[in-house]
Amino acid sequence: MAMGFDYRDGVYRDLATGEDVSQEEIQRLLNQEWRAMESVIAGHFAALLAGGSVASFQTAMARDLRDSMLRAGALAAGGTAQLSPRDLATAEALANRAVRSLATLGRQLASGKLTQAQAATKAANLALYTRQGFHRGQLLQRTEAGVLEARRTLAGGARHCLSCPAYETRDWVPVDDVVAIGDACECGGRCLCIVTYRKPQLPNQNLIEAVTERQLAIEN
Amino acid sequence: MAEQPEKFQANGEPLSYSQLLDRVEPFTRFAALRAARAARSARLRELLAARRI
Repeated sequence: MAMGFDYRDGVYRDLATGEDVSQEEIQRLLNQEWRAMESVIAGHFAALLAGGSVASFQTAMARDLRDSMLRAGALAAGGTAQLSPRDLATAEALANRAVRSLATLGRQLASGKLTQAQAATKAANLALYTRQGFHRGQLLQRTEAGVLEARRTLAGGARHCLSCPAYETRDWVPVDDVVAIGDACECGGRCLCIVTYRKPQLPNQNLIEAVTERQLAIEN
Repeated sequence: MAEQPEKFQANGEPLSYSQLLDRVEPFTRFAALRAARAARSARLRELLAARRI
């Protein structure tokens, strides 16, 4: 299905039918990409256990992880056609962090400081960069498109880490006040927290007050 | 006393951050490819409009 993101209405659309694509469907596609990356990582790790070199493992991981992050960034933007150079630069910065993590993991693997189970877990956790790439990209793109309000909510069933409740916003807030899912938390984006976006609904006294307070803080 | 799990040691020397970066393509290349494709499409449209293809 070819789709895009309609910034005017703030929804994903099926480009063939013009119908809205639900947030659940976007989450499903993101989860599919994440799980696929975990599976790819498991394959690379198996090759390492079978005697492959740590350099080959790192190289294959770096390439596949970056590809996955790019696909997640495109999903956030609403398709590759909507990926701006700025989106790509943001994705690149996060992808470089993933590569840095891979360099660290490579050193640990070569030095023999990890058990096999620890090494497997650390490698699998790198797939979380895919989720972070999606959430960070979405936050940036919506901000640039003038979607100025957002709300972060916890998933049902307490499927989140200890940090997530502190990032929940009970109401719509200025988009800058929302912490992207996966940033500064233990779960690294494994949680099922949800961020929804909208253009300001006027009159919104909460937003006006928040902006006014911020302006006053800057002026003082 | 419980037995400690055995540590795992991978083969060979690890690559550093900069060595790894040398082995991947920057995303800006993706943008350049897309721009080139868009330019080609624009050229095709021009040629079609001029009935040269």
